[in-house]
Amino acid sequence: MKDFAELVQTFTCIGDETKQKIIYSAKDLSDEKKAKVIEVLKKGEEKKKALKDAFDTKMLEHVEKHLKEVDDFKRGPLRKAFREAEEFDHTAEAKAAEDLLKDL
Amino acid sequence: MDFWKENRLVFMAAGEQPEPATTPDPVEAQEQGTETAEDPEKEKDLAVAEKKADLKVKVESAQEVVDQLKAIYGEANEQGIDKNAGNDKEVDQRADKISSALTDMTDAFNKGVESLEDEYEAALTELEEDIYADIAGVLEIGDVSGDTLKEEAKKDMADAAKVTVEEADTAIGQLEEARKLDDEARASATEKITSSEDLLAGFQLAYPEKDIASVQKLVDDFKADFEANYAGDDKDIDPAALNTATGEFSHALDLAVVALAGEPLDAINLKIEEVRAEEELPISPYLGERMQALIGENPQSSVVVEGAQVFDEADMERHSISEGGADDANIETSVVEVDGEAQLVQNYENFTVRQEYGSLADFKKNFPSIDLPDSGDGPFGPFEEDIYMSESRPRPFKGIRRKRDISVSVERDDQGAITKVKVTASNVRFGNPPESTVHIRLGKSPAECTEPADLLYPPGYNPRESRNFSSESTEAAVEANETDAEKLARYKQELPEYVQALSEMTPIKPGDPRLAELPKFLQKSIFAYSTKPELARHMKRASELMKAEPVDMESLTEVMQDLEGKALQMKAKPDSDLSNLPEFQKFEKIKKEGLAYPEANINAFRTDFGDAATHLENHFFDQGAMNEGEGSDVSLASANLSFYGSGVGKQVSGSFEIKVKGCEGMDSIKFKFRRMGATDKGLTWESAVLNAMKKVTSNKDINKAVQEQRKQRNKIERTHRAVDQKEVSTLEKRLKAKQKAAKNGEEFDPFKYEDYRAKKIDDVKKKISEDHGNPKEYRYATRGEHWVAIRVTERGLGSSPSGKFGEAAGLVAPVADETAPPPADAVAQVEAVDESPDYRAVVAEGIVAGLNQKTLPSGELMIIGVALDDPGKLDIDVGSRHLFLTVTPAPTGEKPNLLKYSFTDDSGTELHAFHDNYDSSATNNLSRVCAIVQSALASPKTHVATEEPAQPEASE
Repeated sequence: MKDFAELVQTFTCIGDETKQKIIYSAKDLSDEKKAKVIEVLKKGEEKKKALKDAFDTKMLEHVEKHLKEVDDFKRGPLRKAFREAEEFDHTAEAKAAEDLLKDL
Repeated sequence: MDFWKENRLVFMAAGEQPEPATTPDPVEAQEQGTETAEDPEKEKDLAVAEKKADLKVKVESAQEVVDQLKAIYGEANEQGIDKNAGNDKEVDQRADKISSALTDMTDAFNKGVESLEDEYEAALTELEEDIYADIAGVLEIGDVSGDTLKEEAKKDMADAAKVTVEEADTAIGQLEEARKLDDEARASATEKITSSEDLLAGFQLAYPEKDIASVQKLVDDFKADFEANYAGDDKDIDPAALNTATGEFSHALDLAVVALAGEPLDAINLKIEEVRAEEELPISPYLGERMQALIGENPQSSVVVEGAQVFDEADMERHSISEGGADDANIETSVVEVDGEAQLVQNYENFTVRQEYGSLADFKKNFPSIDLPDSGDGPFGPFEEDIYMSESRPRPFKGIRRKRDISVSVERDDQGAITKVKVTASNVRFGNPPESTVHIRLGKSPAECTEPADLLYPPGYNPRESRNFSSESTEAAVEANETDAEKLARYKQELPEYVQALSEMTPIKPGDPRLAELPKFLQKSIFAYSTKPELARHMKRASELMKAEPVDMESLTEVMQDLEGKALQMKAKPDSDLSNLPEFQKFEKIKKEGLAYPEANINAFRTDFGDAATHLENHFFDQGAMNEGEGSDVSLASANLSFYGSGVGKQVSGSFEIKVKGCEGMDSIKFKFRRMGATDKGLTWESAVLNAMKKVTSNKDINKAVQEQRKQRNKIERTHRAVDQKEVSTLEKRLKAKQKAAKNGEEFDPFKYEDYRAKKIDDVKKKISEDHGNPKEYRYATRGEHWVAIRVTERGLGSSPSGKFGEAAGLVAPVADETAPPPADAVAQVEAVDESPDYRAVVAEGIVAGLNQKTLPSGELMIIGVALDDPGKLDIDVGSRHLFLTVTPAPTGEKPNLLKYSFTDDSGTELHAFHDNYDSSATNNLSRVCAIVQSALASPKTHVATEEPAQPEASE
């Protein structure tokens, strides 16, 4: 068997502390038992991959849903508000300016 | 010991493998079922990241539109001009509604992301627990805690070293402590080397005639010694020896530069600052060459400075100088000596300038007193212009009379209306009576004028604002200057034009594509005070000011200049070219000169480029929060930006300087960037600056430097906390003992409860410095064979005794009794001291330096060293009292060599003073001075200040 510690380090389904615990606890184990540990880790890695895949799928759906919401917002209420703002009646301002200047 | 050093790392990270493989080898990974980069999973990862980036851009652009909406709705509203309350409410509601809809949407998204991430994290934790449970089953073991692992590893290591675990712990602790001291000593030495090199570079500039070889050797020797014996993070060194060497080097260097320069250290530093400031003065190669010809070894008697070379494009435009119009604007220039002082003489005899105005109105603005005939093209004139220049001009043109001959010709359209006015100004004379020469005093003798700057920036000029041959002279001959009456007449003519323009005004709206080339902060300037009511208010104010008696010209000019700045904006139509607006011209200037935000003005960067500033702070906030629990401790200290290109080719170069809070003494962290482009939808300048900032935050070296500084700072703070704790505990003991002594009528010795102790005073101070403390915050005394120090003020409060520490040291009254009168011996007896710099100042400085080296060895009276805050002052202990001795030249007049010796307390109050005649020909001066100071210290006068100061003593 290749160096057990090095192999354990390559797995991503467990954290550093767990890796250290395993490496330390297994230091005097037979190669056969070490191989069993690696088997468990391989299965764990598969499960982690499945979890990650599910997570990415959900995240992608979430982002896409929100992208659409923002697009709808820009095309709808925001565009409408901008048009309204541009057409906003400035006569009150012009009237105020006129009042201020009438004595000049 | 070596064994522990070699194995220390293993202890500190028990259970870790020496070089764990962080990324699986692709082949092995395949074998183990782990993934490589080409995995579809990774592709999904990338897809999520890309979509998130898309979303960010979309939300940002939506936010931009929302902000514009507010601007469109809100200008008049925010300024309180729109009086229609119903309108106010409506526009507020509209803007707020749309803004909060976007915020709600973003919040909902972030919440969703957070919840998905939490869910995923929980699943991973559960999976890890399951895996470990399965493995524990295979291994037939229970749970092993991290601590157990470390203990076991430590035990293994101790066994290997054939010692007990406790002995291993102690050895590791000692090693850690030793490493800490090593690092600190190394940092202090490195800092000293850097500052010494900087000092020497400055010294060479300030004293070019001095040979610095001997001082350079001091620096080189120390540097070589450091490199050979102390440099290198892993080197085991003697920190005390290094600190001593650094201290000695520092002291020797100070003495050497003082001796070489022949003046005190603070004068040297001041000179270096001045020279460095001058070094950076902006002088064009042309002017530098012209001025250089007037000075140096074989100076020319005069040179011609050509206006065409001095004026840049902006000057030409500002003064409406026509193409080639400055070709005959020549000033013959010479340097003459008058009463020992050099004067720069500028002769305007051959100075002729041609200007061109696009309309009669523009011409009248500049020449209000000249009326042109209704017909004919001219030339008209010559008219004699006779004006007094503005009082706001810097000398020598401040308020000076100027006469010129003005000749005018015009171009007219078919209806006879003037379309262009051409002006030729010649025969320029200044002063009363008017002369073609102007004399500018240079404040130095001709021999002292060695640099072009000596001629261009005489004393009294603000180098950043003006120099000779710009606004000071060349322009003075060109610039139009009106009298107040002329100005008022012009304003009266302009105001109705503005009123008319306002009535026809089509306001420019935020988001107008014609503004896309401007940075946002200049766009904002266009919208400031630009609504119709605000402009009308300005006009009304101008009208009121014009009618007042007398006219407040300063206020009127201010209001009219504001209106003038908005004149083009008022006249602009929806299809007008806006590039003549002052904001566009300002940006052209910025493009030419760059935009600097020094530390004092860094908030302006935050206002102008908010996204970039926020990005920097957020990045380090997140990083700090994750790693060290620190928050917003990184901020921008300065920024320099240069803008290039336009449209899709906008690019920004420049530099940022960032600082970490609490690391003020450390080097600032600088980052330069080149040609960063914009990437946002509108391709804005702000995006280019943000991208530059992103480059900073993604730079490994910058992040590492910040972490390093944080680490160093935290280390210092930890030491401070530990020392504070210890000193507070000693303080309590000291206070209790003091109270007990007072109660029993016994004498109290505060130094019995010391904070530091060592055989030599320097070692005590060194210990304090090693704890990153300030030796000035302590008082020192000998007790038995040792020197001891006690803290007399809280950390960071300066050198004067204060608070509980001062009270416990017996140096200040109990804190609660602040109204008690000061002790009788603190009454001031201050004499006026003539501070005129002469050779005696150098002698006085020499005496202080000499006394410092020749420590007075008489029991109670001890010169501790040069006062830390002032190299001209000696720090002395007299029994339990602490004094300072300053030697300065006494008032001149009576005796040419008289020096004053003055003793002051911590607050600067003079307790005792005497005079002594210094004989420069005597060889035993220092010994004699030592004896005099010693006897003065022993004298009761030094202790009782209410007595008259001693009369001058003669040395002969």
